[in-house]
Amino acid sequence: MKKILTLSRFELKKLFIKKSLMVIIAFMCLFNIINIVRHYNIYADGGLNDGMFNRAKYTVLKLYGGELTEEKLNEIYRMKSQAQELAASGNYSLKYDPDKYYCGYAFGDAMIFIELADEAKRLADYSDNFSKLVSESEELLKKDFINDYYKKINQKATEIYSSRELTALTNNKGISDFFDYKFSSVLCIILLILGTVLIFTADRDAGADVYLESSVNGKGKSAAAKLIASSLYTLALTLLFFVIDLISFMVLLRIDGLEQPLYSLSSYFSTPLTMPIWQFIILYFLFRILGFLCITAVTSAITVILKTPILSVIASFALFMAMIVCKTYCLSDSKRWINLFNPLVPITAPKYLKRYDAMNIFSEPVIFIGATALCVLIITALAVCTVMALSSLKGASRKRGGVKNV
Amino acid sequence: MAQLEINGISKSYGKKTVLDSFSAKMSDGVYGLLGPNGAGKTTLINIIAGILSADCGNISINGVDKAKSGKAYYNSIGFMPQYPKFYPNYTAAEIMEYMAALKGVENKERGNELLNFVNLYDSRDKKVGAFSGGMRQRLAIAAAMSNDPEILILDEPTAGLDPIERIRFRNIISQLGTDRIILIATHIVSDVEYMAERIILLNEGKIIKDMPCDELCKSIEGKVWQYSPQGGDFDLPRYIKKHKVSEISHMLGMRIISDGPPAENAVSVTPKLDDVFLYYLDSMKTDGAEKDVEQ
Repeated sequence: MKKILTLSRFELKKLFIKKSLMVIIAFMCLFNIINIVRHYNIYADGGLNDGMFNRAKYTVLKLYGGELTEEKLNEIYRMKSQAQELAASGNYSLKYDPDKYYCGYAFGDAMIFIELADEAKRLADYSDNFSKLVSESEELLKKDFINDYYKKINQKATEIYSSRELTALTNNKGISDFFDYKFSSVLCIILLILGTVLIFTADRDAGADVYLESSVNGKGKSAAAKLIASSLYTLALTLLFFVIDLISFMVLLRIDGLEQPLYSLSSYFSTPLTMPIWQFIILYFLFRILGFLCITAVTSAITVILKTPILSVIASFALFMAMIVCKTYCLSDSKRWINLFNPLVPITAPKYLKRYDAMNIFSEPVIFIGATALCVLIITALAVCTVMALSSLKGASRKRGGVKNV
Repeated sequence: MAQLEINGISKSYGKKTVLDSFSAKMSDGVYGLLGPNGAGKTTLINIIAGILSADCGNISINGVDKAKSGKAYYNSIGFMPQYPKFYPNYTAAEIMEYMAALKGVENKERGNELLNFVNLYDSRDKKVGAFSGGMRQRLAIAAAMSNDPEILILDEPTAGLDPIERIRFRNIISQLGTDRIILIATHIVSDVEYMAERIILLNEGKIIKDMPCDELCKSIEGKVWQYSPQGGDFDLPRYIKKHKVSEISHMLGMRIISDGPPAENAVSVTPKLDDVFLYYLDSMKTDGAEKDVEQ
């Protein structure tokens, strides 16, 4: 193992043979940050950003947010009523007065309080709404016409959704945008393909493959070292973009309340998970690592099979395009199983955890993302085995043989 | 003492036979594998180095068949390819460290010792991309020696080197050849003439001759002639076409390979290895040279 780790260090160094890769990574990071700032800098003025309004909303949220006591709720509803009356009457000043109004305008403040009250009501009524759903599920379970599979789903739903409660109002809405953000995933995949192909073709490109083929550790152990190196590269890249995205969203959208349960986010109100948001961030990161490692492993296998860098890159990108097509269009029950093997699914895991999304596997409801994670893990293992098997073949990279050099 | 035995090694690519039942036995010393381009030298040494597999035949080191020894076979082999290349962003020290890891060498000082041996210690922290051709060749020799192999295989080791580097290289090889088998594949006769004790002549995949250098030269005694043509209208280009001419000198005239005297005043001289190469491996001319007397 020590020898493999030593070899891995040298395999990682092969990434730096082409300085252009490092330049591309730096450029992609910058491009990603610019993209986030461009679309999510809602508190800045200019362009389509209603910065003044959003800043005022934030100020009001800070004043009225936190634990939702009876007293606070009543105050918020009262402010909403006043706001609705003002808006309906039309009897308000159009003059900009920042000393009197949070956003400087009477109508603007009215809108802020209406939105605030609606959000507070959603949180306060959450428990009651789900209690009704749970009761309906329990009633449905008593019916004879329902089949076993749907009985089990309803039973699970009853267990998951009972006793849920939301008690605090925070500025955590922006974290949903973070979970839905896909642009950095595309950049990451491009960099993964380029870097992985580089690791597996650097020897042949540098004309140094003969040293590996005539050395005791040049086949199996070197292949294992390359896999470790490409995995470390994947982990580093995933972490880099994840941290950039998270920090950017946290700062730009002034996110707080990560200790609140995931179902406190409006788009996740029926998620089967009961963990706090910060734990879900970690889980999301782990899903991303799984998806990206699968892409790395498959790219490695493609490269070992095709041997040349250009063909390998083209084939890997073609496969990536196919994954996107499957993810976008294979949505019906009959075609959905294809996406069980699609690494893009765990990479975009939050989408599949917004509600209780199960598959019928031998009449058992299995959470789709859980089944996908297992299948993607199997694909990764198969790809790794393919790389090891092909790399151990004698002269596997020697298409040129001795003919040209005799 | 190392023993290398090669039995009936053959290799074909489609209909083209590149090696045809090659057999040889070697023990400690320097061996020259001599042949023109396309003779099968690189294919043979790639098979011995474990990079290519033969279609049939076997190789054994110290009596142990390669197929049976598995990965341990590579512990006995050191290989230097033709025009050696390395990763340009690695330093010489890193290359040696990497080679040590590839070959399973535990001794961390071995790399520095070898760099010192090939006079590259002072350049150990320099990136290989900035090395000259001669420095790369010397680094390649050091890399091939990482695991102190019993069998050192060198493919065209002096190709592209200037005379000084070539001499430096020969000296290194001579020092290494005392306690291991060194097999040098080349078509540059002067290299093996100075270094090799035994020469294997290879042509079109077949062994033509396999004997010590001095015996090889003796085998064509009486077939090498020195001839200085007289007369101003001598047609040199036509003469060269008709005869195997190994050397043309303004002072000494021509050195011709022929079974009989090519001309009346031709003088028999002591054969050199260049003459041997031409005699056995130049298939362009026949022995009709003796029929053609001076114009």
